[in-house]
Amino acid sequence: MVLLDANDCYEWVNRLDPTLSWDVLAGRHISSVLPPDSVETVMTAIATCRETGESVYYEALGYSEGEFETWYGCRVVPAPPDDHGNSRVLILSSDVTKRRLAEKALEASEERFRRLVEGSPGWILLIGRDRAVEYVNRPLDVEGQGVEVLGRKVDDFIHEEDRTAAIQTIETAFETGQPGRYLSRGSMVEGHHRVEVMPLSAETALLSSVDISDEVLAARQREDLLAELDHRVKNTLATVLSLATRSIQTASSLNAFKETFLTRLRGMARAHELMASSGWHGVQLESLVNQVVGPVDSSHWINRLSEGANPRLDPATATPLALALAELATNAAKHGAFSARGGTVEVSCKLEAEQLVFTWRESFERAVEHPTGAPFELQPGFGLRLVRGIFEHDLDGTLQSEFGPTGLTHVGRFKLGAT
Amino acid sequence: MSSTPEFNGMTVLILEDNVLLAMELQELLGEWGARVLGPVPSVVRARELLSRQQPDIAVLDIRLRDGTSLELAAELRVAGVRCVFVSGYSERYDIPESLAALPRLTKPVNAKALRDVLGSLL
Repeated sequence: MVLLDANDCYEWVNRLDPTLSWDVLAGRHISSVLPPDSVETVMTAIATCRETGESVYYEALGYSEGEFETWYGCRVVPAPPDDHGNSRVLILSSDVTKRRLAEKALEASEERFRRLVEGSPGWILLIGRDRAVEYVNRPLDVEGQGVEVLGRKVDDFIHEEDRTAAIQTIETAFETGQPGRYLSRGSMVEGHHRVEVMPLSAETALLSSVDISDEVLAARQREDLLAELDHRVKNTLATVLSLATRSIQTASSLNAFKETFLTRLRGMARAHELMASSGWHGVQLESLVNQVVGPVDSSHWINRLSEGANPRLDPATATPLALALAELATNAAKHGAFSARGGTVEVSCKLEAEQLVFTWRESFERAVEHPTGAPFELQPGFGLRLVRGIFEHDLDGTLQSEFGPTGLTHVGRFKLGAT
Repeated sequence: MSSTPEFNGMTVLILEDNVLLAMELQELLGEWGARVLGPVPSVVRARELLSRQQPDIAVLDIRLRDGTSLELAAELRVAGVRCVFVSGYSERYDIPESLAALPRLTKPVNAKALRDVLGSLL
């Protein structure tokens, strides 16, 4: 308690701070002992009390040094005048430092929390029991237009197809008090969202939504990739199965079957290896020919691919082409330049307009002896029909074949990247 | 077999992107007396052929390099062409209701099953 005289100077105190003595304080103006920040508050309160005769409450900083500060809550009340009739006021004070600091901490924490919520990349909403939005952490813009969210049902912001399930989740959360979760495509906001429903009370729930569009996209791509892989594996198995059946049907002996079938299978396997090692980006025609034809006969063929165009082939082109090359090589080993007949195979290619022109030319050392001079495979067997099928069907191109007693030529034309 | 369907004079379109399977179908149908249109590997090629002539029956692989044959099947049905789908065993498609009743064979195609299905269409 402090008693101030008519001039706001100390007249009496009930208790002294141990650092002060009454000799120092007696008769001093109160403003001279107050921290500068408090002077205005205190002097205004005193003046108001004197003017109105009413008690006035104020809170002011009593002392501060660095982090340390003390606060006082004070009531200024009119006191009886002194013996000479001069007005006096009494200040009753109590220490409110603890409360002030707690409030300050709360304010800081509220501010932190507000920033956290408003800065959150997702949507945070509070909804009432009727699912009407009571709070949203940031304004909603749809095509540059602000959309009023407050007061509207959250249902309006959920994609039609997800709405029933979402409402069910929210209702269950309210009824059970247990958190829930639903997935939703936004009806106004782009993308897919995962929304956590947290019931805060019987009347309020917190909805916090995270954009999971990237995850959804990645999952979809994974599914597509798996479907594509499944399709390709099936296609390959169907091809192998069909080749095996054909090879069995046409082979004269087990050895003949083995030779034919394995050459075909190896051709496919090598093409796959080349593709895989390129990361499925594609393979040079020359490498493909080397890998497929080389193992069948490495000494009787002339590779002229490096002299002309040596295009990069995508998997959809290289895979069937490898099978065609394996057929041509098998045929050459059975009946042509790689066989006992002797000769050479010359492989070349060039680009014409947007077409790749691939030439396989076999020259025989010993001419085909046929009474009519007719070439072998005048009625092309399965192998050459397959080669034709690959060029025409798989590669969407054409194949011209010429057979003569001293050789044969296949000219395949197809558009690069057309498949 | 006495129940062997007679396909003489029938024109059958083959839409199948695997060349070996296409060749098999072509040979089977040829043996049964049908005239084969194609085989073609893509919807685009099928449409080119169809602009010139119309088959009695279409054997359609569902998944092709340029999409699915579902739309084409619906158009062929309207034009009075009887269609059979051929697809991979576990491949799932959103087959429209209007096409749900069409016969469907799974790969690898069994010759007898194909002949029975084609016979039932006649």
